[in-house]
Amino acid sequence: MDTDPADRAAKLREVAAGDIKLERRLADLLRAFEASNTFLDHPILSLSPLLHEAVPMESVGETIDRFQLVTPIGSGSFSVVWLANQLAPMRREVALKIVKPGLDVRTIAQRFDTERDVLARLEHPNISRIYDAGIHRSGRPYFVMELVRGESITRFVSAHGLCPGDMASLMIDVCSAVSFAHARGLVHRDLKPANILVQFIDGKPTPKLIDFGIARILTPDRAGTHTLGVIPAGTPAYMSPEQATFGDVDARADVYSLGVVLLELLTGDAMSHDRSDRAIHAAMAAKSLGGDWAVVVQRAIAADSADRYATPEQFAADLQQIIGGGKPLARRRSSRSIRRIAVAFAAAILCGVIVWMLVSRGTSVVTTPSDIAWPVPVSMKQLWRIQPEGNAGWWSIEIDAEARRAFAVSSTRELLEIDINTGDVVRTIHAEVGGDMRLAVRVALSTDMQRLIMVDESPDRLDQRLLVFDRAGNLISRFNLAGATYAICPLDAGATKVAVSTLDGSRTYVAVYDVTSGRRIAMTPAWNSTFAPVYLVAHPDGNSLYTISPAGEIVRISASTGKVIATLGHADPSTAVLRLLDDHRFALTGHYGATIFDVTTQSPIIRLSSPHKTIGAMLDIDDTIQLSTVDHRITRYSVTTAAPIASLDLGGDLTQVEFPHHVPGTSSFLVASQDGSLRLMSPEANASDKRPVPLGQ
Amino acid sequence: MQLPQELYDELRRLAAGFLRYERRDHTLQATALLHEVILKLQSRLSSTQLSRRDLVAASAEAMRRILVDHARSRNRLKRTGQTQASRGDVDLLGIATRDGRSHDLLDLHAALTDLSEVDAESARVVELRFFAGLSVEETATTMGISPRSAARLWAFARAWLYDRLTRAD
Repeated sequence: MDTDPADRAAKLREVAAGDIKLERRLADLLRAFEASNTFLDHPILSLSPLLHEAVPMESVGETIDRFQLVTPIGSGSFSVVWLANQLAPMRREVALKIVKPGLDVRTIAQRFDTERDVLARLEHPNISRIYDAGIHRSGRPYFVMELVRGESITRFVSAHGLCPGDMASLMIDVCSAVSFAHARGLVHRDLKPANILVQFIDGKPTPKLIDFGIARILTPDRAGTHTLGVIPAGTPAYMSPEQATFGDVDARADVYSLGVVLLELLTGDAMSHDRSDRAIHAAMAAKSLGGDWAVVVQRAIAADSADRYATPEQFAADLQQIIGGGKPLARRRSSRSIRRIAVAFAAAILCGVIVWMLVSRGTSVVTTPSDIAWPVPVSMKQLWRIQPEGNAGWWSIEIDAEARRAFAVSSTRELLEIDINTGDVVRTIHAEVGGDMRLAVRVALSTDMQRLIMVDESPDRLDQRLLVFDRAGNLISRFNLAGATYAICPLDAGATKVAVSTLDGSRTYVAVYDVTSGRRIAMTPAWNSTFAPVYLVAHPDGNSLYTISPAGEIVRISASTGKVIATLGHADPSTAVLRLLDDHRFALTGHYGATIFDVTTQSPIIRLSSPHKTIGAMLDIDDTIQLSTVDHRITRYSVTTAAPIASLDLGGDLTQVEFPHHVPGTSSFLVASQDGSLRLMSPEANASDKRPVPLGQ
Repeated sequence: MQLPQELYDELRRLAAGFLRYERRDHTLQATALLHEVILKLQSRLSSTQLSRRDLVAASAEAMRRILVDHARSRNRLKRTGQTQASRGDVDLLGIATRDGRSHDLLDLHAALTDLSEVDAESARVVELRFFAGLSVEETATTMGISPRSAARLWAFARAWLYDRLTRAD
């Protein structure tokens, strides 16, 4: 393309041959061409790996540049690590980390180039050196690093039976290495036991950090290049909340990860993804080790980075204090203003209360034993299946077992009433309300099953309303709602009051409405968040409810004032599921299990663990609790022993099963799937439930 | 056709982060996007064995559809929550155009649909490059055209879309 504007104008005139409109259009396009050279440069996802038959993988004995691969020694989600021999200019053993297929190779190479100098200067006794990097013949980048012959810090600590003081010493060394890198502008972003290797050097346990700078090269910065297809760098269990949610990440993200690692060392338990577990773990550690440990760990893993140690040095300094028998700074708070002291004092009391609760009730928390045999799953058969045309999932499902009816909002935004016996769609409810086409949003049934509550919205999605029907289908009440509704929850048996969680602008809140008048009775203070609570659970008193606030607090809210009556602990609002089991218990489902709380004392009474990511909990017949997991299984646990007693397998042909809904009083489950189907499934062995299996549609 | 497990794993890994931005609707959790891609693919694949080329082409198209469907159903949030409610796609094109206005996926979709009226081939290139993340060379292979043609079509499509999006209202 000609760059001289005059030449170009002449050329354009020539091409357009007198067509002024065409000439102008061409000029516009040329301008756009010049302005658009980076436009759409960052694809949503890369499917290129699909295109290549078998991406040439590296193999034993292969020589990559000056390095000969000896044996694979580790593998992560993004890369494989090899033990390799460097052949020239000197011979030595190195670790060679090669990126797996599928990442954006060009960007990685560019980023490595910009960081090469920083990495080369990262010389610290507790950081493994990065020697070199290059591109494998398959086009994938690799990194050559100092070979560290150590064990992960967790394994080392348990294998050598280190005492808490020794653990703290190790962590102090780690903090010093991390500080050193921070001073050079490098945040690790993926600190975890597997990246902290420990070996004996001169008889002293010496930690060495590996992968410094690599997480950053493999994954883009928030401010820079990422659009939609980005997987956050780091490992979920050790990742700070701000990193997990793509917030601004700074040195304090590493402090958080270090805090989780220390907690893991102290408790000896591998951390799950469930952040709610951590407060409990910290409290447990405090019980056995003394309060200072808990204070330090809790300061390091504070959910809000502003409440955390600002630097690893501060964290290390407090650990030093504990070892030396002094008071950690996190306890002394000498530099804080009076107000901050008061807040911190209140927090300390609260922490103390949690610890006290656990200590005083420690014996009554039933926990799944670690050495149990998992029951062999019984396979399930499908009794019926429906799949409305165009449906791609289910927004909301409610069951009235006695009437054998299910109510479900499809992604096509219709509220369907379904006969549980047959799978027939009895009616489509939105069509029967008003003249205009409204789109269904949520559905709920009152606990006495006499009222059906639904939220719908106008086709332009600008206004929403709440509708209450009796079970004959008569409209009892209708009023408008502000903002966008996330969850609804009838508070009393007859649903005279309904709680609604709302996103309004950039604020969210939970409001309670009087159903007859449509009047808003109470409202929580607004949270400054665009993430409205997804779960609302009515307290059996009919005048309060539980939810997880956007800040991650499990709170009980008064339905008459909107005020928080109690804070029960913490949970990750993006993953935890809150369910009421019965009048006296509710369940908080984390990533790998659930905690059952007593409604009266608001303390945990049962802790169930599961080997797979848990997506829901429900109470079953005979006082057992069922957890459903992402591997399409439902496991029943005994309430008295917390041990698993039976397991059901929903089968492998389901895609992305939603929380399976147990149909009370039967052995069947209503299973919603992302493929848009809804199925009734029952255990294979159950003879009483045999019914023909009509296919919907 | 069942997708081979390793293909599935690969796709899953690629899509893993995507819906974090839209996590608030529980029907759409992290891997949902991918499941939908696969599902839509499977329904198209019937019993005939498709080549990888066709598979990718089908994925790109499915991906675009799914994203647009989601963006549509998400519009409610965006309107009531203004710009923050669906951070993901609000920033999607805004970064690149730098004209102070944010474009979302639906804007792109509309412009792309118009482009396919003008020149279906260039629109196809955008689908493969942007929605399936193929390189120019891979795009050329998939479409059975030369890399030079693919590069030319890409440059044209990009300029055309940019012009359309920055000029709109």
